[in-house]
Amino acid sequence: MKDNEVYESWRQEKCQIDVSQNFTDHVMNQVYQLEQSRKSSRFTIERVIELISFHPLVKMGLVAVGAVTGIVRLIIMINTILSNGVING
Amino acid sequence: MIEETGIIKAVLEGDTESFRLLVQRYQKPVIRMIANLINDRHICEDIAQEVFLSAYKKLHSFDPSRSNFSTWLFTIAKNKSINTMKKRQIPSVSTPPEKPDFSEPDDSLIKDELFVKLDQALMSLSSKHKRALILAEFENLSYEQIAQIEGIRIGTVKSRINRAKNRLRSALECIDGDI
Repeated sequence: MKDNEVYESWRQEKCQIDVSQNFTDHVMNQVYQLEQSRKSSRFTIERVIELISFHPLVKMGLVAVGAVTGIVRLIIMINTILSNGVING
Repeated sequence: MIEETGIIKAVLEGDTESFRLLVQRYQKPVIRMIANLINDRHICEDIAQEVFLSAYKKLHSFDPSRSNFSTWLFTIAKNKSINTMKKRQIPSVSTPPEKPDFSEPDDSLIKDELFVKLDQALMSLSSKHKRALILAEFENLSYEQIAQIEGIRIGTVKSRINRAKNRLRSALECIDGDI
């Protein structure tokens, strides 16, 4: 047997490999698990947004917080202007 | 055969099941490459699973204008194999299998002995020479693809393959004298 024939049949032998029948299923299971965990983390953020957008009490609460913040800022601003006016005047 | 770019696009658009086609298409070459690199049949499928999962996670970063999918996947497989070898402390130059005891050699025994010699020579190569030979000879990748996977120049790929082949050739020449 010539060297190159030996080498070629060895190479052919090294190229042959058996893969477990359920290898693809194992990989896909892991992929689906990953997708599931991605979806559940996305779900939490989406849930918060949904709660804010659609729940009337939460909506009212947010509007109230916004309104109070606005009034406080307005009072602070008026106060600042008036105190500057008093100092300058 | 469905085009790879179409499959990748489908996966990225949310069709997870399409990824199965990529796994089915590449499972054999990826497992074979890892098995030949780390010389441990038991863990190579575990590593290959990690390779495909990693490929799925990073699929959005795959750029078809820079390389083809197989080259990209083999690069992940190479890196995973190297990391596993480091973690599990598998030596890059592993211990060759025991030489079988042949009292009366016939043709098939001689062939077996030659195969063992070639296996020993392959395992005695440094990991970079072994990788170049495996990718070229067992996976039939082009010099350009191997250069991309290894991050080296084509000339270096050629010289690594030549050097590895010379080692295998000299292993055969060595046994020719014995037979």
